[in-house]
Amino acid sequence: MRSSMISPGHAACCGEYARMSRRGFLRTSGAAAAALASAPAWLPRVSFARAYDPRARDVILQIFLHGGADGLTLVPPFADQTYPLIRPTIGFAHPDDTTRPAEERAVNLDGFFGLARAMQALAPAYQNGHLLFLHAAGSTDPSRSHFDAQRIMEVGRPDDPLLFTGWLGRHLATVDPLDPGAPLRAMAISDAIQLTLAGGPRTLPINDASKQTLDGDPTTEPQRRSALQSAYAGRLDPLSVSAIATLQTLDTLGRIDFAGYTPAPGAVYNPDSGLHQALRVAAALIKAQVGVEAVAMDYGGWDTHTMQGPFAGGDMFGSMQELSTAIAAFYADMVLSAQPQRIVLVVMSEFGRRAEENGDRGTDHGHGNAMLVLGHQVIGGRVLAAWPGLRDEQLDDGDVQVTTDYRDVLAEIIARRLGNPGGLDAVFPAHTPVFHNIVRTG
Amino acid sequence: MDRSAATVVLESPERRAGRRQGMRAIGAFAASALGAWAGLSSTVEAAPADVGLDVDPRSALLKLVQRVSFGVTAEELSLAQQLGFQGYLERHLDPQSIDDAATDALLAPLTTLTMTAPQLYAGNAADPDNFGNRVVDEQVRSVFIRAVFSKRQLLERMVEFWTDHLNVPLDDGDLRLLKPVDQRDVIRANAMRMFPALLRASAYSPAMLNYLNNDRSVAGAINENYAREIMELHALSPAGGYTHDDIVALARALTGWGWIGYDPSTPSTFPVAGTFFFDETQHDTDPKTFLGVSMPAGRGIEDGEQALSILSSRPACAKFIATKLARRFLSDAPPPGAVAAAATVFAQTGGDIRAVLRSLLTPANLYDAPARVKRPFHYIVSALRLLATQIGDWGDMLSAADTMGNEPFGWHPPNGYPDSSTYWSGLVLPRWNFAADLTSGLFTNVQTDFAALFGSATTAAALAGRINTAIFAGAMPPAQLALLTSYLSADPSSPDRRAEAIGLALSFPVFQTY
Repeated sequence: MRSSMISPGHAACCGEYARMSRRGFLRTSGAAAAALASAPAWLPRVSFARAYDPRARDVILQIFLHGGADGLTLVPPFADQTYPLIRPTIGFAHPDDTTRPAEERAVNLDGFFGLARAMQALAPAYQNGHLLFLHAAGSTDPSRSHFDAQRIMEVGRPDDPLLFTGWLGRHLATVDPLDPGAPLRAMAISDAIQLTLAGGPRTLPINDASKQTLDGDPTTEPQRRSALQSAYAGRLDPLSVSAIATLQTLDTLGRIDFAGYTPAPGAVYNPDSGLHQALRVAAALIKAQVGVEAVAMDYGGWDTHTMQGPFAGGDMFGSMQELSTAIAAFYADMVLSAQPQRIVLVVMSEFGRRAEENGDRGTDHGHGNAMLVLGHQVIGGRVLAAWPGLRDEQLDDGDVQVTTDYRDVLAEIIARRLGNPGGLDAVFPAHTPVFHNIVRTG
Repeated sequence: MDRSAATVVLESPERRAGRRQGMRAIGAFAASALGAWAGLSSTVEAAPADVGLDVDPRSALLKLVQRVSFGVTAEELSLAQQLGFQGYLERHLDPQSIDDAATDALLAPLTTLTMTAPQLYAGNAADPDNFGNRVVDEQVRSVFIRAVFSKRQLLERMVEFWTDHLNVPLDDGDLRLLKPVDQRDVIRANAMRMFPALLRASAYSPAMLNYLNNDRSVAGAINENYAREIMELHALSPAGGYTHDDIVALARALTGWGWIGYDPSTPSTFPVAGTFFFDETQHDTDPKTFLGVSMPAGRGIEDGEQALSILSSRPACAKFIATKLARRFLSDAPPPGAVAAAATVFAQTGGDIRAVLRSLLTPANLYDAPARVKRPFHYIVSALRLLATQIGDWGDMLSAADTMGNEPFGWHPPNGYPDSSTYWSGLVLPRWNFAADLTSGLFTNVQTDFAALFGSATTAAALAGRINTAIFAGAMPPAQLALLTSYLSADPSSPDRRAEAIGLALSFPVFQTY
């Protein structure tokens, strides 16, 4: 949750440098030995040896925006008459309002909703019909506590303190593996697996995919691995399960040269952004076709109680720009590329923020929010919302109402894109999902 | 922007690399950790079954040492044997009675540790490019030094606990200068005293008021952030029986609680920069009702004072703190009876932290307590306590903690690093690599003396037995001990093989828990 991506290339100091060089050397030789003449150098041989049909279903990626991202800034309802009244200093102007500077005007999406300027990098995906926004979406649970709201969202069932698994973990547990021999079915690009993925088989947190090697003397590594295997085998505690999964994953991940990965033309991942690099790792992993079905990552910095800064130079502007350019790069790499990959990307947050801005040019904890879904088979190019309005009597205790249950969005993806319509009872217990036709079948 | 709930999950590599760099830039120091150790390990040479320290591996005494410390050393274990369960616990419950001059000497060069807030602001004004980094470096370094070397181990465990509970990260900007004072005068000073005083000190702490935006909460334009987190995270828990109206009432009661900033153009601020200030002109003087208690109109700072007292005296507070302490010291799912007893003690003693610990750390509770996964910082420190004879620089240690997601003061949301074995069970490879790097000499600033550990042992079984004694007090599970013996038997006389065996021992399941 806290923090994850460390790029070895940036740690330029003595002991550590030596360590990285050694690891880098081991990995490079392994990758070189494994590479097929016809394959890109970063791809492992193992990926071609498996009976694996990548067209069978999508790989799901989730970016969780921690802190409660303000959906009224990400996707401003500029044509709602109340919006300018309750967001006098941090609201976006109508796209045609030439009395305001261009950077403070929304980018028009559908005549009612717009995009924050800093999200403009997503406009092409929207225009191509690959990107769908939802609004007034979220969890129906009333909690405005970050930790409660997020826990409930990740678990997927409100008011069940005894459920310790997450919706995505239960999906993986109830669907046949994409590749039965895959050592790793889901990856958290994080220091720990998110609750969302809890309960999923063959699921690991990996905060630096490029460093999946066991340190120490290479000549004794097989014996040391064998000893570790024996020490952890047959144990049921979570750490032992992770240990065995880690050992099984080392060969596969160790052969992918993440550092040397070349994205598709037009896809530019910023080397200085952890989020960009996480998506780059995810892209390499998916293209390597090692059987990974789900990737989850967290991106924080959205708890904008003060000086929210939606316009150029502001804090939220920077967060939105990093988010949108990272997704745009991933989109170019995975969807627009000559060999498109079957992916579906979901971006969500624990709650939206209060409709009315506070006295500090910020916003407090709220409720209904925007969501984003991207992929080939997403029926995009629109903002899907049963918009409840922003007038006082239309709000839920001062906040945007939730008119679209986030579980309905995820359930439809799971049924139609992830091949698990039969698992929905387990994925979202005690919930009968309503599909909104956000993705195509097949 | 407020980052209180901002998980900086994907922090930029530069920032982290920069922080590590800052660590290294500071001068090295050296310290000897294992005086008692070498002598003890060199005198023990026998078959594995006989090399224990005459402590039942499952005994409550060994578990007590494991849980009040960051890792069982021979010195702590022999102290425990000498003093007995209650005597050893009482010693640690009275940290001031323990001579810790050696640790103080190690900390003496870290001069920012003892600075007041105005001194820290003055230092920053004099050297704005470097001072903040130095402050962060000394804070982080001091956490490692104390955890590894301090004799007041339970105090350090409690400091870690409250550092999580009242989390304030060492972020850029004012927090770099405010958190050191919070850490010393709020967390450390109150870690083993009275909870109400701790909660109150935190509410008076500019670091907390700044981190959770109370310094911007004024009459007529409140900011609920701090009020919400006091209720949810500091005092009552989400199940603590309060409403949004109570959050608003508390936020209003705390309007005007702020601190004095450093204003370069106003010299009169210099002597008081970074200190608490109640601005009565910004205080909401209207009547309030907080948790059913009426607060009359026209008051000032006593609104907040009263609200904090109300919070500390709620049964939900006793239960919440007792539950969290029971989780830390007993089990991820602590027995309800032990929690209830501790909560009763909390309530009867007015929140005496030591009395609550005494109630939890009983032979019966510990005997039944299942193993908990060491958090990465604990894992690293426990290895260093056993094996490091000299540590010249902490950069690699910070880097390792960072790689495992647990560097000191690095958690950004206000709930503190998770206290959950499951949460910390995912990233295993960095633990193994730490163990391999430590034992293969890759950490050039950490000295070890494996020859002393192995003594005159020569056979694989005897060598493995020494590891069992030295690292596990003889409590290593037989199957894992057999794996070590087998690994050593390939080449028992090789120093590299022996070092690898220690690395494996640190990588085995038994070393991941306490």
